[in-house]
Order: sequence, then structure tokens, then C-alpha cells
Amino acid sequence: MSMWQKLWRKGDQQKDEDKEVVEEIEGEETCNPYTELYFLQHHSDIVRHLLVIDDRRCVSAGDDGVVVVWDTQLCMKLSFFEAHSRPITCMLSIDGKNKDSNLLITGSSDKHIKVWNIDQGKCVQDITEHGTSVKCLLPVLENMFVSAGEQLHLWGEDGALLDTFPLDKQEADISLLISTNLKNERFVTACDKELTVYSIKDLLDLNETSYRICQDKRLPEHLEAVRALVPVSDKLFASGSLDGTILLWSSETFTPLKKLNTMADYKGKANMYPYSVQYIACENQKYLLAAIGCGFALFDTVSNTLLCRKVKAHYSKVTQLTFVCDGLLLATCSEDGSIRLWGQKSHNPGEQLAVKASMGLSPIERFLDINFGQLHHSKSPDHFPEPVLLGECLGHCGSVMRIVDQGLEGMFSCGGDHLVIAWKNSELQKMKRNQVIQEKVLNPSVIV
Amino acid sequence: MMDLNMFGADLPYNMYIQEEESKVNDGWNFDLEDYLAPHSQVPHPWNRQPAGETHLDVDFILVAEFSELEGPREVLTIPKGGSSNFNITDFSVRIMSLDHQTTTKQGFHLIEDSQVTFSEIKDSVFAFVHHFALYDRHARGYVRPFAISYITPDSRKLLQFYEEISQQMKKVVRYLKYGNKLVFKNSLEMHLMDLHYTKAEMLLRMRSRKSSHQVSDEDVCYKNLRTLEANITETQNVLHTIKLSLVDKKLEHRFARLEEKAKIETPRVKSDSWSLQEWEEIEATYSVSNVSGSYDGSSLSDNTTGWTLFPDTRYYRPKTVKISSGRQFDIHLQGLHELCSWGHREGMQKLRHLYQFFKRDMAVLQVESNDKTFMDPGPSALYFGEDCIGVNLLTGVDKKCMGCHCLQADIPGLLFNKCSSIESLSFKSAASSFRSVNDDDAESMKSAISATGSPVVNFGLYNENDVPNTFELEKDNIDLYSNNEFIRHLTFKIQQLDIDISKDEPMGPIENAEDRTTIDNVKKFVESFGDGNKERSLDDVEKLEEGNGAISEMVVSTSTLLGEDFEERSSGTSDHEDFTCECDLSDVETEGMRDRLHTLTAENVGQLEYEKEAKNEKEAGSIKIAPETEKTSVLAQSIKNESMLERDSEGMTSYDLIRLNIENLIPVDFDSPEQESTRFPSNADNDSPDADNLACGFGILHIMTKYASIKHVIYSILIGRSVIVVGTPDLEGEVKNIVNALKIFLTSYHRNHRSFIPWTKCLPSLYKMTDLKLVGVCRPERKPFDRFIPSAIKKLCTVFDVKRREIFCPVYQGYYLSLLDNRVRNYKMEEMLTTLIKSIMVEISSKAFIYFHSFCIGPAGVGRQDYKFLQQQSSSFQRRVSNFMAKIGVHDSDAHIIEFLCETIKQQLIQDHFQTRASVSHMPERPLATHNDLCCQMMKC
Repeated sequence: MSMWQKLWRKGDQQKDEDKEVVEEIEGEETCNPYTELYFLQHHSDIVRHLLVIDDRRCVSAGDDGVVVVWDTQLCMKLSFFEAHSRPITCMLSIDGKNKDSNLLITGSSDKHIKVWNIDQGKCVQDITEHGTSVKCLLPVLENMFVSAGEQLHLWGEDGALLDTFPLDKQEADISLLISTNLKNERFVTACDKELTVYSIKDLLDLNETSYRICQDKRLPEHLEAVRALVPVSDKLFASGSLDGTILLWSSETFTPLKKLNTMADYKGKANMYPYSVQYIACENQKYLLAAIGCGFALFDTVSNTLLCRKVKAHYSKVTQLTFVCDGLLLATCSEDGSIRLWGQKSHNPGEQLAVKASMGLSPIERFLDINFGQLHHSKSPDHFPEPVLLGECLGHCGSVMRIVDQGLEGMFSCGGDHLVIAWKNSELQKMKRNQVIQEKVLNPSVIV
Repeated sequence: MMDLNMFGADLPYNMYIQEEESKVNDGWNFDLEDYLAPHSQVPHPWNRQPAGETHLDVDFILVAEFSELEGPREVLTIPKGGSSNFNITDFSVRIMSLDHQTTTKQGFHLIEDSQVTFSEIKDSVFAFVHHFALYDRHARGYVRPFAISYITPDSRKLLQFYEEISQQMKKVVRYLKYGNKLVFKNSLEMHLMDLHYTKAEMLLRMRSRKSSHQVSDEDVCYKNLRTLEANITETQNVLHTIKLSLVDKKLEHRFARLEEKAKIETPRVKSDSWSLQEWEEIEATYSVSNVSGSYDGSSLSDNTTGWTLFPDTRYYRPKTVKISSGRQFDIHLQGLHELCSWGHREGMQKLRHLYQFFKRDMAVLQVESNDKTFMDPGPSALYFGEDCIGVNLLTGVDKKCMGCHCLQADIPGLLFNKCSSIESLSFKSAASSFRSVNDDDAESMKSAISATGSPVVNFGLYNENDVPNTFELEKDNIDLYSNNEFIRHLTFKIQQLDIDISKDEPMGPIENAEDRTTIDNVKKFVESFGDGNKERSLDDVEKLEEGNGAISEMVVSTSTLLGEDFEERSSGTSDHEDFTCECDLSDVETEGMRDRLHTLTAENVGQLEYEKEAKNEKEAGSIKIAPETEKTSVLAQSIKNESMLERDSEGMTSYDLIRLNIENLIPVDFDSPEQESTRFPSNADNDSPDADNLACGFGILHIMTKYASIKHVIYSILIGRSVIVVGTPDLEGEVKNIVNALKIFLTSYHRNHRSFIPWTKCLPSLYKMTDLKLVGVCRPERKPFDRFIPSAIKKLCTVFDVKRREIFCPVYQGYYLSLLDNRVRNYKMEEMLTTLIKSIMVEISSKAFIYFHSFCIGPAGVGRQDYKFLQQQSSSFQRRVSNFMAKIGVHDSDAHIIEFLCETIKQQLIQDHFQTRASVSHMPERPLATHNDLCCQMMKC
């Protein structure tokens, strides 16, 4: 049994005894800042993607093929595009040519890639040459992007097909794409268990530059399908798979550097893969937040340690996790329909807040309630206590697919119940309403 | 006195009138029916009973007609039978003799309506009469004069609500007249067809007989033909005039819709048509000689064309009509319902509504009309249930002043203007009138000032000579006293604040300094205000009311202008609408109904009690009849008799008590026992299918006495938390009753978008809870409670399981609802409880008013932007709110209620703002509060 297995098991042993009890919160949730929720309705199918455009807008897309632009401050629909006839599988937001407009690229299983001007609310381009169902999109170099699925294509800014890479395997289906360096010229694809490195070479022909996708290297396979792929730093990226393994790779040599969280009996009962990695997020270019099974864990990639974890955070698999409220809380969303907020128990939240605010800390420091200096010196992996459930956001009646943090505007989530929910703080909203009333409703000069 | 032309052919009536005028009874030789025979003595319509007894005790509506056969007669009264001691026949004569048709035009023309008021001060009978004419082909000159009168013993009702009554009467008559015109048009059209048909027949006959018949016979034929021709021309002219006036397509569509509906619902001929047939039969028996347009009355087409308002003339089979040069008017004419068809149905419905509305006590009407001013502007009004406006944040408030903190430049000028407008008011005479009242009666002085120092006005002081003007005077005195008290409190409050400031936790050094300036300013303002009280002489009392408005504006503007701070000021400058907070600050525990009355604000329901008492006392003074007092002042009396009632209450259910009280106290309030039973159902009525149609808040007394912890549920409603009432199928009636009763607390009640569902089979999804605030849900018998309610619903909504008598909700800890809860036991009548509820709601709303004007739209409401963290901003705002709430005397859970009420209005305002802006196509979503900070508990009830 590996070290990681032991660690997880240690927690499990206690849980096994009382049949894996999931923590429940009762009574008032003084630490839960999300006290007002807005149901944003438009979709008619599962909403799978949520993308923040700027501090006023976010975009949701789902299986109904519709893209909706929401005003995150007023919680109202700004516009919507009936973009695709099949589910939208990926979205990408890039700056337009003149940098004054926001472009949104959507890929769908209807084999179309469409480019939208969000500000004008219209379709700029409809690319049909992809030929197969589009699975993922990635911006590369300057103003170019790669689309992948059963095929791999490189597109220019104006939607011109620059290159196609012939995938040799018959059943190849790239599901994840990340770029691994600052220039965005090299990217890694995940196709089932396999990771492959590609790079884009610019060939200088007489007058014009042409681009070509080259395969650089095939990386050693994971035991099971890769579910998460995330760049950590310039030199490092991480991949997580169904068996629960998280591998750290060097972005220079493309060799596996470390193996986190290996499990021996990873399939679990009835092939449920209880330790599967659903999602990995990276913080401060060295900390990995991973959604593992029904719980989550925080790893330090430098010291190769597990900083803290929660084995049974939800009743069902955790789909995503992110820091909210500047790291004071960690929000996890799950297929059980809830969003839970985790943090450190504190006897005096107000005082703690003041101290934390004065210290210009990073989210990870705030979450762990320790500064980096102390963090480096602490050796014991058991140093940090298990995060405590501080709040639960119940509103979805299906699995929650994505959550995004909008800072003072709160948190947005989307889910299987066709809804986008804005979670906001009622006090802030009250202040905002006061402001609106003062400025717009009561001030006659504006009305005129 | 009257237009004799009008009655030209009506001999009996004429004689009647002449007799009335001459008062001479010389033998009439006509063999008349009893009712037509002139009386030996002119009956006075109202003064038949011995003097001193009132004859008219309730309002009623009388529809009278000037019958060609009988003269003036009653057609119908609402309610049936009218008033018991009132001679309706005599009154009909009187009103029908007030003739309005003074036209001298020749030929057929449309007659204008006229409205008159009619008063007999000595007998205190007052009437509003609307004269109008309906058209009938069989009537003389095609015209039948009618009059609808609203008869009341209360003259003020007519004076005060002249416009409303007039408008409503016009609406009623519009239905009647339009329906009548359509019927008239149809009948003319058919008659015209008949005439043409007869003409054709006659020509045919003439041609065939031409050779054989004699010349004299031919003469007769030509004569007949000429008459026919004249008839045709006349009918065509009338038809033309009528057709020109049929321009109200909307109403026509409405009647058409009604008819469609009726056709679908009852495929058989309606009773209407039956009666019409009956009339035709009668007509047929009368058609001894040359009645024009006699029908066979047998053919099916006649039947259908008879009752429909929109007949298809293609299917009409014309008949020959007997030709006559003149007409006879002694036939029975059609009834009102036949004359107006659907117009009658609609018009009478409207008339019944009108009666239901205006029959209520003057004080109630007055309060309602006062309340009505608070409906404008719409989005800033706060409603409770369907008929109570808690407060309107922007009524009579100058928006310019409110927005001033954004426009710094204009401030001094604006402020000055406001101040000067106040100075222009003169208080002295008002004050002196008040003093004179006190000098008259030392006893009243005691009752006039309560323990808390709130104003009480004793209305029993006026002597009988003042009666006609009493009401006006009372009003002035209320205002005046409020002013005095207001100033007194203001000064007191400021003194207190001066002391308090040192103790109060300072918000910051800068703000503190500004606090001081604010308070100094207010102090100055109050001093000048008080000085004005002594110095200024006054002859114009009316200005006082304007003054009140100005004060409120002024106060609001000072508070928003001067203060960076918001707390101290607000308590000092609470405007005239709300001098209630002082009461609460000074002594919350001093209770009693009188205090309750005092703390109510001028525009609220409390005034109902206030004015009722006033009216009651006044009437007691003027009429000096005890039972009358008891009737008109049910509320006031019951308040006084609370303890007495309580003694009676032992061993009785609340419903029984209600019945008992009604029988004892207000027998006149109900027209029939049926109505009584619908308003106060016995237990058997609980399951009645009509539960949906019951008045908002009906049954609240029962619910509040039955379920102990219901105040927590009410609290949930008042903080915008959706309430789900769960019951097994056998409890459907009870669940519906609970929902119906609790509706009275809903702030988002709207006729079209209902925020409640009385009974539904499946649980609504969570996102619907932003609109739905009160839902009755059926829980299948077998499904356990915990599995039926998902955790998300349980977290966001309050759940009330009727079967298990359990409530899962946040706990209420506060003053207002506890007060309500404590009082429930003392109330035996639902009306009183609803009034109390409304008055409490109004009181809470008035706090929301202060909160809005002094906090929300001031700088404090926007908050500081220098906090980085969401939690920091949030908690600093929370602190500010709770500080402010403490200053205005609101604590604990009540603060949440007030915040929610204010948020509701803010959302309405914002929504309205977005709606009126055409450029925005989408609306912001409405939020749903989760109340994380409130701890939910499972409670037995």
C-alpha cells in the first residue's frame, strides 16, 4: 500500500466504522456570505460551462446549444445566441483584433466552431472544416487557436485553417488540451490514458509564414483515462486520472517528476473509482487543489506533501472546486447538487478577518491560516487540520457542473437543472440597490 | 316644479301632482285602482313615523322608473326590500318628480343623463340620483325614464364621495344604456323588416284587388299605405339616430363574449327568453286593437332573436303588422332586464359592487380614500395582503430633495425654501383652538395626554351646535396636536441625543462631528418651529395640512442633506408620519389598547379606529341614542368591552364567539344569514370549495388561536421566506384555510401574478420560490415528511406540516409579532384582529419609511468602498444597520422584517425603473434570500 493510500485510508478507517458519514451543517451559517440567490433561467438543458468575460459579464453554455450572456451585477440576461444544434462542448474567450471587443469561440458536437462577438451579440464566423465533433479548444501563439477532438486543427485568427495534424490512431479522441509554456507554442493533449506533446512550428517560406503542428513526444500512459490536465508553472504541469493518480510532469523534459496520490485498489466496489480525479486547479504555481472522489485535497508540489484533505466532503463526486472570498473559503460543488464552503474554524471570525485583511496574503495562506514562511518550515503533513464545513449553498436540484468566483459579485454556478444561480451577499446587494435608487431612480437628472 | 309635457298622457299622475300642489281633495270620479287613487293627505315620504325615530338606518340603492301606467314606481332595491322604515314608493315619487329632461327638440333624440343630489336635512335623508332614459319601441316617445338613487342617512358620504359615486353611477348606466340601445336597435330593425314586409304584402293585395274593389276601399288602402310609409320613415330615422350612437365597440365585444359564454354553458333557452316569451303572451292578450308589431310568439326564430343581443337578421321571418295611425300606451312594457339584456346583468353587478363599497361606514371610506393617496406612485407602495397599504415611501416626497446629496450645489436654496414654507404657516389659531378645547373641560385634559405622551383627542367635547362642522374641526385638531406633540418629542429627542452622543459608540471622528452639526441644525429648526407656534397668527386652517407635508419633506431633506451620519438624526427628525418611535423608545412595555391607538400613524388603519371613535362620540353627542353608538362603533366598543367579552368566552369556540358577537353588536351589518355564514364559517364550511374565493386574511383569528407557533411562520413571510404548508390529502381544507388566512401578510400580493397557491399536488421547484411565497402542498399519506421535502427546500423555505403540527422555521424574537400573538386571545372578532394586524403592519412599515429615507438613500446606505473583502463589507453594513435599527427602536427579528420590507420596495422601484426604460429588453432577476444567519428550528404548534 502506497503512502498516499495510507493517508487516505487513515481517514477512511474512521469513516468506515460509521458508514462514511458526510458532514452536515446545522443551524446558522455565520461564515456563509452567500445569503441571496438569483435564479438565472434561460437554458433548456444541462448547463455545463460557465465562463467569466469581465467583471460585469459571464457566459453560460450547455447541452441545448445556447450561449447566454449574463450581467453579473444586476443578474439579468444581456443576450443569448442559439449557437449550435448539438451540445456545446467547449468555450474559449479571446480578445478581438482591435482588443476592444470580446470574442467567444464555441465548439460543439454538431462539428461547428463558431466565433461570436459578445458586445455586438452576433456570430462573426462559422467554421465547419473541423469535420468531427469538437471536444476542446486552446489558444496558441498570438490570436491562433487549436481545436481538437477526433482531429487536431490549427486555426488562424480569421478562422482560416492553418494546419491539420493527422492523428494516427483510429479511435483517437482528444479530450483535454493545455499549453505548457508562456509562448503558448507547445501544448499537451490528453487522449484517454495517453498524453502527447505537440508544438507549433512556424516555417518561413519566401514571403509568408506558415504554421505547422508537430508531434514532439508521447508520454508514458496513466493507468486509467486522464480526467484532468493543468499547467502548474512554466516548468511543471500535472495530470490526474480516473484511478486517482496525479502525475507531475516537467514542461521541459516531459518526464514524470512526481507521483501523487497513487492508489492500489483504485477501482473500488463495482468499478466506481472512488478516488478518481475529476478536477485539478493550481494556485500560486505550486499548490494543487484536486477534486478526488467525493472529497478534495490540497497538495504542495514543491515539498511533495499533502497539506490538507477532506475525504468525504459530499455525498457524490466533487465536480469542481475553487477558492472564493479571496481564499477565505474553498467552494466545492458536486453531483449531489450542493455547493459547500470549507475553511478553518475560528472562534472569532470578525477579528480573524481583520488580521487577514491587513496582511496581504494569498488565498492559499488565508485558507490554511498560515503564511508561506511558516508553511515552508512545517514538516509534518498532519500539521493542518481537516477543513471544516462552514456553509452549504443549496439551490440546484441536479448536479452542479461548474462554479466560478466573481469576487464581490459573489459566485456563479450552473448545473443539471438547467439553471445558472448567482450566489450573492445580501448586504452588498442592499448597498447596491441603495446606490441604484439614489443614482437612477431618485435622481431626476438621470431620468431626463 | 316639473315638466308637464313629459307626463302629458298620464292622467292619474298628473292629478296626483296637482293634488299635492293644491292640497285640495275634491272628489275624483275616475274608477282607479287603489294604488292609483290619490291620497287624501299628501304623504311625506319620510316623516310618517312619530318624531324622534330614525327612519333610514342603512344605505340602499333604489332603481325607480316612471311607468306609463302607474307613474313613478320602484323597480328594484339593493338590498332587497331597502330600508325597513323607509317609504320607498313615496320616495320614488319624489325623485322621479325631479325632472331632468327639459329639452324642447322635436322628434326622436337621445336623452342626456343628469345627476342630482337630494337632501332632506330634517330627516337626515340624502340621495344621489342619476336620471337616465332607456329606449323601448313600445313606449311613448320610445322613451322610458329611469332613475338610480343612492340613498343614505350620511350626507358626508355624498359630499365626500360625490365624484366617485357619480363616476360609478355613470359606469352602471353606461352598461344599462348600451345594452338597451342594442336591444332597441334590434327591435327597430325587426320592426322595420316587418313594416317593409307588410308594405309589400299590401301592395300585392292592392294590385290583385284593383279591378274588383270599390274606390272607398282603395282609399282606405292608400291611407293605410301612407301610415305605413310614415311609420317606416319614423323607424328609419330613429334607427339611424341609434346606430350613430352605437360606438362603444369594447362594450359590444364584452356583451358578445358574455352571450357566447352563456350559449356554451346553457344550450337551452335562458330564463330570460322565457320571461320574454311570457311578456309577449301578455302583449298578445293586450293586442285587442291596433297594436303595431305584434308577434306570433311561436316560431323558433323569434325565440332566438328574442333573447340574443346579436341576432342574425337573415334568419328573421318578418310578419305583417297591423296598421294604426296612433298608438296606445296601456300595454305592459318590458322589464329592465329585457330592456337592457346583458347590460342589465353587468350593470346590476356593478351596482351591487357600488353598494357593497359605499354602504360601509363613512370612517372606513374616509380611511380608504386616504389610503388611496398612498397608492401613488405605484412602485414605492408597500402592500400587505390585498387591501392594506403599509406605507408609500415616495408619496408626497420631493424626489429632488431626496436625491440632493448627489447635487451638492442646490442644497442651501432648497433647504431654505422648505424652511420658509414652514414659516409661512400659522399655528397660533390652531393652537388656541386647541387650548380652548382644554379650557372647556379639565377632565378631557387627562384623557388627552396619555402616559407615553402621545396625542389623544377627545371628540366628545364638541357641543351640538358644532355638529355640521365637527368633522372638519376634528381633523384639524388631530393635525394640530400631532404637530405640537411632534415638536415636543423632537426637542425632547434632541436633548436626549445630546446626552447620548457621548455614550454612543462613535462611528468615526469625522462622522461624529457631523452628527453634532446635524443635531444643532435640527435643533435650530425645531426651535424656530416652536416659536412659530406662539407668535404667528392664523386664519387659514387649511394650510395646516400642507404644512404637514412640508414638514415631512423638510425633515427628509435635512436628514439626507446635512448628515454624513444617519442614525442620530433619524430618531430626531422622524417626520410627521411617524412619531411612533418615541413611544417605543420611551416605554415599550406600557401597553393597552389606547397606546396602540396612539402609536398608529395618521394614514393608517388605526385612523379607522380613531375616526370611528370620533364619529361615534360625535353622533352620540348629536343624536344621543345609545344603540346607535353601539352599532357604528363596533370597534371602539369592542375594544372597551374586551374584558367583558372575555368573561363570556369560556367554553366556546372562537367561531361561536364571533357569531355571538355579531348577533349582539352589529345585526345591521349583514344583509342575510347566508352572507354571514360565508364570512364566518362554521367548522363544516372549512372544506367548502369556495375557500379560494374568501377574503384575504379570512380565518386568521381561527388559525392564530389554533396554532401556537404561528407567529414564527408569519415572521417567515415577513422576511420574504417562502412558506410551504404541507398537509395530507384529508387536510386539504385546513391547508387552504391556513394559506388564505396568512395571505394577509404577503407583501407581493397581486391579483394577476399570484404569490400564493392554496393547494397543489406537487412541490413547486425551488426557483419558483422567488415569486411564490405561500404554497399549500399535498403530501401523499405514505411519504414521510423528511423525504417529501428536499434539503434545499428545507433550507430556503419555512415548512409547516399541518398533519404533524410541526413547523421548521427561523425563530421569531421581537416585539411586534409577539404583541400580536399576545393580543390574539383578547380578540373575539376577526374584523378587529385584521384591523390590529393591519395597524401593526402599518407601524412596522412606518419604521421602514424611516429606514429608507434616513438610512438607505443616505450615504450610509451605500457603504464604504474601501473594504476589500466581501465579508468585511457585509459585516460593516450589518453593524450599521443594527445600530440604526436600535436607534429607531427596532430590535432583533423586527429589524429583519423592516429590512425586508424596505428591500421589497427598493426592488419594486428598480424594476419599475427598468420597465420604464425602453432601451433595456431584459429585467433583472428577483432575488431569493437564504437567511443563513437565522437558525431554523423544528417547533411543535
